Amino acid sequence: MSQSSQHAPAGGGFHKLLETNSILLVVGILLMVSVGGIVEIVPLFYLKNTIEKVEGVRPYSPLELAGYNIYVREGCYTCHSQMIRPLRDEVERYGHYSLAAESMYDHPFQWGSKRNGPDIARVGGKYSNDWQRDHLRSPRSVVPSSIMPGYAFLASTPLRGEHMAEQMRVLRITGVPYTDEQIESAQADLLAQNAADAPGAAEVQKRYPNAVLGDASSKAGVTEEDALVAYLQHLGVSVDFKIYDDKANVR
Amino acid sequence: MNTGSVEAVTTYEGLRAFAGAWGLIFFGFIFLGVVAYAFWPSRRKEFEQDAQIPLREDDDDV
Amino acid sequence: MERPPLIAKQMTFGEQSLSAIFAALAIATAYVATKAYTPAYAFHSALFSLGSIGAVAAIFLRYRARPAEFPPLMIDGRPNYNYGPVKFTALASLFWGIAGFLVGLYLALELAFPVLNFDLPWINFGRLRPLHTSAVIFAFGGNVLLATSFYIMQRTSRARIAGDLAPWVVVLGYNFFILIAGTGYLLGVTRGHEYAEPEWYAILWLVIIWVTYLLVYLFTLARRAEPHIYVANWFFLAFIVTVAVLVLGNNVEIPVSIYSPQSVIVWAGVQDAMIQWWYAHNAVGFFLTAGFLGIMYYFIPKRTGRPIYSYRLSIVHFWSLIFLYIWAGPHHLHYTALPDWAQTLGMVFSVVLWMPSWGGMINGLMTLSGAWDKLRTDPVLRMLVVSVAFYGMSTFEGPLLSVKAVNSLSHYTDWGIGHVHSGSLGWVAFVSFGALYCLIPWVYNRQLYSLKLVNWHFWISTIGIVFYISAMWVAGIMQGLMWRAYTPQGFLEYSFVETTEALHPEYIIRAIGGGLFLIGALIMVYNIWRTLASPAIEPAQDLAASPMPAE
Repeated sequence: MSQSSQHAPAGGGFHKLLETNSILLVVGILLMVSVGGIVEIVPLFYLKNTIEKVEGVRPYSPLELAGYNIYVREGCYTCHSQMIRPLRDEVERYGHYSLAAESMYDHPFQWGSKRNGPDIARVGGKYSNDWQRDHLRSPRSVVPSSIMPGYAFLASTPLRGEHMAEQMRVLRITGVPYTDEQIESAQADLLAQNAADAPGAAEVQKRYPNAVLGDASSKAGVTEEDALVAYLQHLGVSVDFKIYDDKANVR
Repeated sequence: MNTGSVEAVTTYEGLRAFAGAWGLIFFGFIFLGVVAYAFWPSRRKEFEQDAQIPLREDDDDV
Repeated sequence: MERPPLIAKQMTFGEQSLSAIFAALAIATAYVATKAYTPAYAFHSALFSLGSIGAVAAIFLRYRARPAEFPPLMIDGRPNYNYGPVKFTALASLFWGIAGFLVGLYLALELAFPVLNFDLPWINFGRLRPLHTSAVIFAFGGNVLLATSFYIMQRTSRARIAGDLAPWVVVLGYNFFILIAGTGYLLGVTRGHEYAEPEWYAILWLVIIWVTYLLVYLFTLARRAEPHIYVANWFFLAFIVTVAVLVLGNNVEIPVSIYSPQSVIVWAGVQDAMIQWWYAHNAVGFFLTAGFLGIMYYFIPKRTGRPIYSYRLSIVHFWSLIFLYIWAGPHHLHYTALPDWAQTLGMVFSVVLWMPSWGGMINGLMTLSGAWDKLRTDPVLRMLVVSVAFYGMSTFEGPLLSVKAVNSLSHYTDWGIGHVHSGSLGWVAFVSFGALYCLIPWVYNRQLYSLKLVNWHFWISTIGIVFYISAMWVAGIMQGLMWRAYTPQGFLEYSFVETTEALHPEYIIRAIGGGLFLIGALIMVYNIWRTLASPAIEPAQDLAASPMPAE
């Protein structure tokens, strides 16, 4: 308890308590460090304009989700951002600046913090599937002075896609609007999106508009590379910026 | 924007204005309180003793 | 615990219950290992199982070897300090430090010579980078913090550390967490949050360890003979409590299955980004700053033999630092899809944060006033003091970089990498080295083998840091300018890959800088090894008594 001297002015006794009582000190620390976090984080959950209202953003298809898992697993975000800033050069280099809505189903977000390679928020559709495969297998065969590691092993690794439905179910708990139908047909959709000759491709595109179909043969089985390419081809293509209204979403 | 979001924005704006004014004053006073406490002249001696804690550990006396 | 003598030896409640818990854990994790979805997770479950069996065995062997009575809290009226956990973590920090610096050097070389990725999954840049950051921050830095905090809390409380097994649970459990996290990255187990990559089961384990750590700290303080809690302990408490809050806040996640290493974080996109950078920035603020300031507030006075310059300033420093730091996270998200109001708050508080940071720096540096000559003769003290100078430099650079106009140029470039390394190599690592050079001889009751080698370590590493950060300044500013360069016709002047090509020389210089830093650390390991190999000094000349060990 307080050992304070007799001349302590009013108010001084309080800090004296903190200095001599470790529990109060811990409580004081907790109070002080809570303020900033609460003020900055809590409003993001209830302010409706935090995430823009746009058409076209949808949850990942099972194949894309499997690719996203690989993207996270390999730490691609350590070198590639997925966040185009509204600066003239970035918009001209990469395309329309990124919206919060475009990553609203990314658990976790993949905005990145360092560009050892270019931003790839809008890489979807910019290159063919074949280019993406060549580039992943041997980056310097396509871009001679690239410093990217080669990911040839993805092409020879069969995709372990048997747990996609489970992941989708958990994602639904967190607010990703997967339907029962989408979850039930996860396995079939994964195969159908990958192989051009598999039945059910139309179904996939109905459930997941704009899904880019793979060009593998269904006999070959799905590789990790197939999934990653499907994911990359979906990056940044959801929103049609010809009809997107910037002014409606000023924050 | 639907009405819900307008309401949320209004609540937020209100809270923000409140926090921006009173929060600043509140924490400003806390800061002044800490400074006043720490630099109150009569406490000088006490703190000088506290500062000696690492230097007057038991086996330093040996 | 104060038992009468000649009591029959029996297992304590702690020993019994802990062995029961570990036995249950061993069985449960062995079962999970058989059902695991991925080989990596099976491997980790097996590690948990083996570790638990090892823990049970260790508890029993220790029980058999120990006397019936527990060590007394006091011997001859003086506290009977427990240095075992301090020694373990001090040496572990050296091991992890070398490992982390080595991986960092390899990463630097991968960026300069990408062929070094060898197209292998386990050593590609994306997997090694979290290994490097975790190894240096959480393994090296974390063990330094455990060692110094367990030492400082005992000494400034004049009390033996609380608990018998608990301190060992903390230090061994924490290092087991590091092992799980680090091997996980190489095997592709990651949450994909920077500096928060370990998956749900590793975090669950960490939370248990961390709560134990806090309890050990509080119970030791409760035993203290000194009514006042010395300021270094405040900083350690802020570090422990806030890191707990941050880890819990940034790990609200649902495992896909108990048999899956993967979890889904409950928030996505912009909210996830804000919470992640709230976490990550304050990992800098409370892990790499508050904790190491605790080291500064103890070891600089101890080494100079003078009290801290202004104890009163330290009070103001403490409260304003912890209050302001927590706000600064959004400066990592300037010009992103994070709402502007949050970015503005982050910028303003980051700039204001400059003041308490420099208050702390002044407090550390001015402690030497009247004793500056010691810098010439004592390279250990020089290391401590230069670390504070680097702290001042990077806490000036930080606010500068958080100004949006500057950030628009610096963000996504190597300027940020340079900035964190001026803080981590210059401040965190140097203050750690300085503290370890003091601490290890003190707890082992040895004379430091060679001050001359400390001098070599200091200069080689300092030159390494200068190489590193100046190369990164040039690289970052150059790349930022090249990205936004336009031709007279109004087209972007450089393709992205041209800006990458331009960085090649700087990447080589950076690797040289990192190599020098590693060489310095290896010299330290040699010096410590020779110190430990030397005979113990006479207790009468306890080194802790003299701030300046004679060579």
